[in-house]
Amino acid sequence: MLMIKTSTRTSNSLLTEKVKGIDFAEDLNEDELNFYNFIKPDLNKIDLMPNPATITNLLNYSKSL
Amino acid sequence: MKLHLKSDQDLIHQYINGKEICLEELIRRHKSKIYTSIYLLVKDSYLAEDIFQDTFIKVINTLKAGKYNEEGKFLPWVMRIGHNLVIDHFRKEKRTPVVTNVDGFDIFDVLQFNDESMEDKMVKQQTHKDLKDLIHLLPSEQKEVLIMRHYGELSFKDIAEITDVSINTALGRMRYALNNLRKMILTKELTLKN
Repeated sequence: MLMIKTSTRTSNSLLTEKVKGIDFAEDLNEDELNFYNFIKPDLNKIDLMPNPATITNLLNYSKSL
Repeated sequence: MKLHLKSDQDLIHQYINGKEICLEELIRRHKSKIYTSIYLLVKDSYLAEDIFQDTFIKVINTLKAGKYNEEGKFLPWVMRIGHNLVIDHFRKEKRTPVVTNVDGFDIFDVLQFNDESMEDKMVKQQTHKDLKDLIHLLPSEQKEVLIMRHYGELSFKDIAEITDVSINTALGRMRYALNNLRKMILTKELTLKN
């Protein structure tokens, strides 16, 4: 079951890519970042794979060119 | 050097120069993130398979034609191609993949928490499956930002360009996506306790 918990923020990856010259009017706040970091492991578990036959088709297509 | 230790750029260079096995390594390395992203957007495994294949056919054709722009990273580039193909598909179908809405849409407007089958389903599913279902409930604009950001490793600048909105809008959609997911999870927990 998913549960909400608070934790100390260890990274601020969502905010590390600010574009030069652009000032974001909206930033993710610490609470939102904490939640994102909390669900990241579960997001990573959604690990779906294409059919191996599709990969084979692609490799054969490439070789045919 | 072994293939799995090579950078994407090295693999691309060698593939362009005729080393076909480098394409296999590139696909092996990124297939999960790309396929997962496409699937979460279209919610149909057969369609996702087709779009995944079409995405890599475009990748192969572009690389073989020597038209790859080396300024960009490989994964975000492929994700961009895949996303565009998803959009093309839904334009042809003249429908949107999920609930169409404006930014700021409240997920509670579409959730029906008294639905027993939904509750039963959630109880039985594993954590990651729960989250996948909740992602499917997000408005399309929020879902695509979350997916492109997390699985595609795209910057908000890239996402803004792909989705033709401002960077602030892209960032705002990410905020709404996170807040809606949190609301859904909290509500689910409350439902289970009662």
